[in-house]
Amino acid sequence: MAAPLITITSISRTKISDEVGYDRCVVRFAADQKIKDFIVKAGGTDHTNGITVEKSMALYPSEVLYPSVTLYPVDYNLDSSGAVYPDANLYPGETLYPMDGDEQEILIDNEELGIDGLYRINIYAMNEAGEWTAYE
Amino acid sequence: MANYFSLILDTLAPAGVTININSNAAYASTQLVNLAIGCSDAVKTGYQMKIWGDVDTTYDANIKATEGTSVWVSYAATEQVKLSTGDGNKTLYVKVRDDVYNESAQASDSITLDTTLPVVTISVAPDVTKVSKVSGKDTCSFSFQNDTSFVEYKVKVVSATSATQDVGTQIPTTAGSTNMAGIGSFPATTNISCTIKGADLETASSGDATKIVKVFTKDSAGNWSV
Repeated sequence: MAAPLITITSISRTKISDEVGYDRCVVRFAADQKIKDFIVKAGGTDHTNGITVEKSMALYPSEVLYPSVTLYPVDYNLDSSGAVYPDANLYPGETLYPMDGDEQEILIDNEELGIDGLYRINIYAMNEAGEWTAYE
Repeated sequence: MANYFSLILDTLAPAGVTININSNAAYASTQLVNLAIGCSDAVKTGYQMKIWGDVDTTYDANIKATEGTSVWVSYAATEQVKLSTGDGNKTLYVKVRDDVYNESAQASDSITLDTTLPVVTISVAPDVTKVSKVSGKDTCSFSFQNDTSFVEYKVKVVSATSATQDVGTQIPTTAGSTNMAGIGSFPATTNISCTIKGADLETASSGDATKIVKVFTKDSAGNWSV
């Protein structure tokens, strides 16, 4: 089984600060297969190093899987009703979308990075076989 | 798109923000003034600025009396602002923020608005009202003074008593006229004595006739008397 391939589908901004409205970046991504875990790193060369800026929450090692774009597009719902609901953490103008699809959304907050600079943000995911996305 | 992207964290405010009014002049003679707004950041793409202070709030909807009521607009190195009415000291403020809303400290500059025109008085009336080019009858002397200090004056032949300083012909000093123009620092009510030679008067305005000679003074703010 091949390790998951991650595709970033949208980024709300490529520059952030500590000012309200500009203090975080919203990222959406999808995997080519079911994944049991993901982690987002600033810098580093694989899923074990770099600054952790986001990770999946409390699903691994449960049997619940994150969605897959191609294989399992609709078998996973964070919202049991499947309805669109607003996210109070989003700023006006940021995208609101249902969490019942096949994409994940993460927020990268300025405080998670801490120090001014240019960061390479890498997203890694692990499949059911325990294989992690490779560093590109 | 791949599984990675670049993200910049920038929490530094724009640096070196400056403002100066009318090239740092001490006085403005009109309410409309030109601002030069500086920021030492090399790249200012997406930057905005906010200007406020002693302004005519009807002139520009984005520039008001207070920071809270003014509006952020795209950064520009120059801006025209209308000062509030009434002569006196006027202060303007500016802040600049970058494309991720890091906000600079405020910078300010002040200028004195002086729209009051100087008033010239002929303090010693002309000793003669008719001159020729013949020695002994070729000179007219008079003195003038100004109600405020002034920095420049000129004596001109004009076509009407209502003429302004930018029309008419300045009387030369080629034939010996004195104090037909001057630049310097002249205190208020200082008498300046002038002599006009007939030949210089003719050069300024040829032909025998009654000539209107008018003195103009300019104050520190650049206002010319009328």
